[in-house]
Amino acid sequence: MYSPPLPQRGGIPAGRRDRLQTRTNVPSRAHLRSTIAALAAPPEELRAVAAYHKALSDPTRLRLMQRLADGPATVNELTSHVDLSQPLVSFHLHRLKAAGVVETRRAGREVICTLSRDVLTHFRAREREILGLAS
Amino acid sequence: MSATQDSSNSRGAAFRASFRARIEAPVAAIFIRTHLTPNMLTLIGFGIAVLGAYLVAIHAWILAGLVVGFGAAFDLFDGALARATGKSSKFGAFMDSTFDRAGEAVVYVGLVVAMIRLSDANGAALAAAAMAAAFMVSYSRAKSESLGFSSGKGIANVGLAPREVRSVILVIGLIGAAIDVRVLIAAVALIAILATVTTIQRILFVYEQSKQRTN
Repeated sequence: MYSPPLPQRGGIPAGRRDRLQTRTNVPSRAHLRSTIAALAAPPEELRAVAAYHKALSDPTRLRLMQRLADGPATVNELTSHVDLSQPLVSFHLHRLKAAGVVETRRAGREVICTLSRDVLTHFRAREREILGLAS
Repeated sequence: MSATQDSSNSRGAAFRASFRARIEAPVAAIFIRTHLTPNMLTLIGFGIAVLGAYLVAIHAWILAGLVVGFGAAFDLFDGALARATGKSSKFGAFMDSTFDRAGEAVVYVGLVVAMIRLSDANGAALAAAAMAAAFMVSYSRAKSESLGFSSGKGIANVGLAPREVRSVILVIGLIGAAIDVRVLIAAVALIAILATVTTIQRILFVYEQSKQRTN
């Protein structure tokens, strides 16, 4: 069964370590250092996957993608689909575009949005690889 | 430094005088007929701010901009009514500035909620920063006056972004959000920056005064 990994306690002499452990459950300096390093500069790949999830972490954005899964749509069509104002829909589309999961192109006065299935598939595959779930 | 402050002070004072004559007095005359007390106006102003905050939170940008702008203007008139009716009191002044702060805070909380509802963590952080910076402007004035600095010299006029300027930027941002939401985020960032600069200007202003005192 799953058991959480114990914090590493490298770099502290055995005697002090015991005293530390009996007093409080203080993480070791090495553990703190690695945590801070991971927060300050996460590996590029993890950052990209996190950005992808951030783009998808909004019900409105998921609804927009749901509509786009049926086929390309203009911004006006998307606006009436989610029943929100055009600036709000544009804001969410900007987010989806920045993550690469939606592409837009101009056709005359309309802006047509399409779902980038390749990008979605890519991130899903990368994530499974990173987590060691790829078969 | 001190030269520009002096000129901005006199400009502020001149603006204040013409504002009092042209707008305050006639509006105060309207409120006198309603039989409302200045303190009631203070509370109504806070109520308008709460409504504005709600409209911000539900992304009703244009309406929110109008209500927040109206509320900010409304906050100027409780003092006007008090002066016009001779009901000026220390408690009234305390109520006025306390509820002005509360009204400002509640609008920024509305902004944080609006940003969270857009799943925009950076926008929410900016709104929190703008609120903190706005409060530092108010605090720097209140504290300097409680320590006896700048009484009569008008620290209220020192700095780039006193309340009126912040309100105008916010209203422009809210109405601009009806075209592009990023206008609002930029306006909030601008408020955070200008309010911080204002606090620094006020610290320098008080420092100058403290030097003159000890000399």
